[in-house]
Amino acid sequence: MAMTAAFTPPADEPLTSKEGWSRWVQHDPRPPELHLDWPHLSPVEQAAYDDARLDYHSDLIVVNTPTIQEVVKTVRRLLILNRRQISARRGLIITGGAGTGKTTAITQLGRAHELSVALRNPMAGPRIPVVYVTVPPAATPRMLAVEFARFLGLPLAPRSNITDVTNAVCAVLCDVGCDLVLVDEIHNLNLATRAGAEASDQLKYFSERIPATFVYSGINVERANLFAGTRGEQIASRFATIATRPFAYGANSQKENWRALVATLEQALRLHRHKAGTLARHGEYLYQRSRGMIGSLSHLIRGAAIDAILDGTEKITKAHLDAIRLDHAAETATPTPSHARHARQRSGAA
Amino acid sequence: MTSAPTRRLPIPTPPTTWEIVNSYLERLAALNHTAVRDLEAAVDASPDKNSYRQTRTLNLDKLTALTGYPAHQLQRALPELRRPAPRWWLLQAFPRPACPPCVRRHRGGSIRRYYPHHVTACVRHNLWLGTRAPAATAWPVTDSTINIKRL
Repeated sequence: MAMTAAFTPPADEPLTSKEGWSRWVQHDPRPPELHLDWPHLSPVEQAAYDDARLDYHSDLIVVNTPTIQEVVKTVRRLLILNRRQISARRGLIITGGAGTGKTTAITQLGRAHELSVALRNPMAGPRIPVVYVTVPPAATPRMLAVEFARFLGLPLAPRSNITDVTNAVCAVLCDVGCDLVLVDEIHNLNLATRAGAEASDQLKYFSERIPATFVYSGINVERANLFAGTRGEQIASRFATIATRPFAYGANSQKENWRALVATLEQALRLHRHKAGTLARHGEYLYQRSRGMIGSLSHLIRGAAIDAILDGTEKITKAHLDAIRLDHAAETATPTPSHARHARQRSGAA
Repeated sequence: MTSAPTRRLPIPTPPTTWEIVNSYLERLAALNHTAVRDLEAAVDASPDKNSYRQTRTLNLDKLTALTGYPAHQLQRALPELRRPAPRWWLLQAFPRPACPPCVRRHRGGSIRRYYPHHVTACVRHNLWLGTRAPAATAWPVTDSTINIKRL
């Protein structure tokens, strides 16, 4: 009888579980070495070599942007300030448009903190210094508590009430030394609805019970009624905000920042015939395509690099960049005032 | 509908030697601030009959996933999980509390474990562990009637 190899599906370990989070934190993408004799590799070796490079370009480096630096610096300060606080701990809200790097900033912050805690505490033990959860759509207090429990891997029966879940989560997080809680997609909380207001209260209760610094992240939270009403005032009085914005391309310093960002991404490429500085020269074109969104820029360059490997040209050309279809927001975004002004000047419109 | 896969507990702890499954699950539940019945459901544990030789059955793979310890280590420590079954008649019928200084490093509360019939004290720590009369099954019982003659 023919035997077939057992299929082992990938583990269901998203970033919002301690296993997935830990694997992501420990993940250290090493750039593959470029083989100078790559045209002479056998087909099997060539396929493996290309596959390793494709895998690398699918998850290119994270650029340490000024926003990430500011977030890490602010939260490091908050972590120290909150050490002796028994209540009313200060927090941070990262707000901004879609694709401006909020989730990247918040996850990089968590990674940096977890690695620093591991460095200070080399002894093995059940230590979970960072919790990362997302607010589910139409969140209720119980759903939020279950999200925390799901991150920790606590087995909960469907009949468990919210008090049991909350108590278990808070007690375990105190035991494992959690001192940073990252809550993403906070814009799913709508304080105008009863469920949203109760979920906000649940988050506040967690912040009182767990001796940790809370960092929220969401799309334009000031417009999502998060600071409205009595509850909103309390949040506004305890949380500082950092806004993530698209990169600007007006003043010379802004152009220099953009060029440095493109050059950083370019030097991380692993292509054989790509000349350094090619993309930096096309900085304005890349800005027009991505509208200054770092997520769109990364997608554009990574996609072009993958195409360059697949078609064998081994260098990114304008045709590669033109062929990449970006997200709807970048493709249909209205021109920035400076672009509109240039367009008016070119067309002679008043 | 399939149940959710069992995931590792946030605060696992290893079992101690010859610990009973009930004691181990209770310690895990205490450390992780959950109910024992939730852990029992997570490892498909059979109902507790609380009777000698009515050992509990559970899914060893799920217990491995729940604790993060390999199956052979769990089987070595928890005699109820051994296959083939251990020679129960060598052990005293009912589990007793373990010597506290011996199991001090194991967290989660008191530990109950099996002891051989001859062990009634911890020689290392000079502690009396208590005893019960040997179970009827501890003696080599034969089908033939034992005649005890008066001297």
